[in-house]
Amino acid sequence: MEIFTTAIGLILSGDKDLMTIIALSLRVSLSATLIAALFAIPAGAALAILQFPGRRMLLVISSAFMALPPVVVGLAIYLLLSRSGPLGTLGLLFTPTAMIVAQTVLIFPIILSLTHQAVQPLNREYISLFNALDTPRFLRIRTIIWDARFAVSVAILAGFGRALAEVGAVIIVGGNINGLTRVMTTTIALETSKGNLQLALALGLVLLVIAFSVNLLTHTIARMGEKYQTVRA
Amino acid sequence: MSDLALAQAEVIIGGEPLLGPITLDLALNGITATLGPNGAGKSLFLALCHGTISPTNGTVQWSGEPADQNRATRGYMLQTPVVLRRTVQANIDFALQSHGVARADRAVKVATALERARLTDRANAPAATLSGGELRRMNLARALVTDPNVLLLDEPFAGLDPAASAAMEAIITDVAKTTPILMAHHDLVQTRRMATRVLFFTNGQLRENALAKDFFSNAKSDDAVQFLQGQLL
Amino acid sequence: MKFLSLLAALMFATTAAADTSITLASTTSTQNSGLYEFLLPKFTAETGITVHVVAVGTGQAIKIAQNGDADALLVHHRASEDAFVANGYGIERRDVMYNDYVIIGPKSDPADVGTSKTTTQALNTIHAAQSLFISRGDDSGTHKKERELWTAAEIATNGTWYREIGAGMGAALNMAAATDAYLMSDRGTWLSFGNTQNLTILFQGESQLRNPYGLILVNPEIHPHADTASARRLADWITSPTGQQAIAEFRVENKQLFCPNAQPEQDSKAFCPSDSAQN
Repeated sequence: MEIFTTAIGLILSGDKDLMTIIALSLRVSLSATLIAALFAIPAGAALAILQFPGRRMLLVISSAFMALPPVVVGLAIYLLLSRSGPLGTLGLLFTPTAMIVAQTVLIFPIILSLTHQAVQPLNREYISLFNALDTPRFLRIRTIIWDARFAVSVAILAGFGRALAEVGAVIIVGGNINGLTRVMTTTIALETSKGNLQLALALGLVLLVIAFSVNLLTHTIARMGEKYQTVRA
Repeated sequence: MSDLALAQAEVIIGGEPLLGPITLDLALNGITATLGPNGAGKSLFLALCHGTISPTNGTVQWSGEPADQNRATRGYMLQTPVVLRRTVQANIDFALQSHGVARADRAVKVATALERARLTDRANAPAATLSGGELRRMNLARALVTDPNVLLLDEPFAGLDPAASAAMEAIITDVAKTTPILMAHHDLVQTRRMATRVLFFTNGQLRENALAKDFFSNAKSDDAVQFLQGQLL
Repeated sequence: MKFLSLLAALMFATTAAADTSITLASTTSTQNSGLYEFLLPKFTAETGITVHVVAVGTGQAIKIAQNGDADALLVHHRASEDAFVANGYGIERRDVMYNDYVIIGPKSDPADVGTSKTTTQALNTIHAAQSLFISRGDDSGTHKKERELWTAAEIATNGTWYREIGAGMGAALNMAAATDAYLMSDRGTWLSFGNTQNLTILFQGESQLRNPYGLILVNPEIHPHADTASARRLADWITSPTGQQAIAEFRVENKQLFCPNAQPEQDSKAFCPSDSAQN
């Protein structure tokens, strides 16, 4: 019970540090989701529509990458962005930008695979019409994305949820710097390591509330799509 | 673009000859019905003529051009209507989008097609809520909306109750006044009423090509005679 | 287009920072003690230079500095620090401060560590009793120190009583608290640790348990982009009487935690934890 009161107290106090941390979490994860979605959604749809050698292998690889531990992604991005690494001159390490990059890479395969799963059945259904009308490829891709938009939204939200909840990637590329690259998950990790378990749990509760809202949004959107789904004929 | 020419066209899939070889030269006029028992190849013939299936051997041409290159000049009504997850209006509009028609011109054409198919009052309904008969008419409207030179209708009456069937017949007869139609059908009585010409198929072979009145009064092949007598083939 | 520029702004906006900032690679134990939150603002107020502390295990901190991802390094393992300089990655190593390690264990003290007179004796009693001992096992300064102590005591630690967890001080303390085990902790982390349960300090104060800290600048010859000038200002300040005084003033639970030792002639009149056997 104490955890709940601590959590509520935290939020209501409007503690500046906490607000900064929450704001950064949202900014990093939202940006990563937007960028990943921008590329992963058309890619997922294209994979359903276009036929080319190696298509199936690409799908398998993408699915495999979904299971990548965030810390591995973080490490890979760290090696890329380190001053001793190929992109070192950009000086991006230990900044929020680096965190956005890491999370984008992390959730890209998730959004890609889930989008593909969402649009694939539609493509199968629509293909006879596409062929009858000789629909151009870009229009086919846009059509299945739009018609599957509710399931695609769910894919986007899944990516966002994953980004918001991960700690392994952002802690390595961000450095958990106080006031600069500290987010909710890394703060929870930090407070846990300091033995401040109550505070860590309270923060976890805040994170949970956000995650719950995201899930609620997911379900609402999915249900909105139902009116177009049930076919009577 | 209504001169259909098949030269030794046949379809072999998985080593199995499914259709042909067929040689045919036809300037379509009015309603040409393809008749025959189930599995005779009527629908396959239609798909072959439209170019959505390529001949394994031989050629299929419309006014000298291969069929798969001028699909845009024809309207094709699929046997199983494809329902895009949108309104009826958007479903029909999609055909115009596929043909790259400018947005400004589309609304009028869609309205006209809706009217011809007697679906104006359902324009804004989600297509998924349409009854079987209404879906067929939407399918037809979608084939019509692009002002095709020829209409290919694949079993437009399948599964329709008498009222819906009568409505469909009226619409098709009306359309046939301005656009030649190639129609796959199974009902003898209705075909007799509607068709100008009959192409009769059994076992993937074209057995007869005759004016409707000649076919029904004086069929030449054994198969046709038995079929007209209602015997199973 | 508007959407894209908004996206770009979102991505690349940094929180408002002072005009100059440097990155200091340091260790979690130092960070977790709260020293930096106390000390660095004073430095920033005086010089306008913001210090971004990346706190990781000693091994990782050194690696980060080696890669040039930091401008300065502050760790507490002399051998590693000397190697860092000898290999050309760092310059101008300075003493900054020291604190000490303590042996923590359950209040019930089944191995009877509390009556030991030396560190070696304490470790021997734990080994003899085969009592559960948690080791960080993460190649950190603390862990390396711990290994050196076992070696000095000539005790083999292969046995199920010795648990290497490969994690930080906080995680080790959490586990020790949960399993009533013994472990060696730096005083700073212990004093500010919030989950002590049945644990308490059972042995402390011997010179073997001393823990000195060193500050090294990243060598600009290897990493020209490093802001050596600003890093040097930090080193100068920390070792100046002002900085050293601030270090001595830092309190955790009303107790002084670190003893400044940059000035050899520094007369530590202030009570320094490692100079006492009682706390």
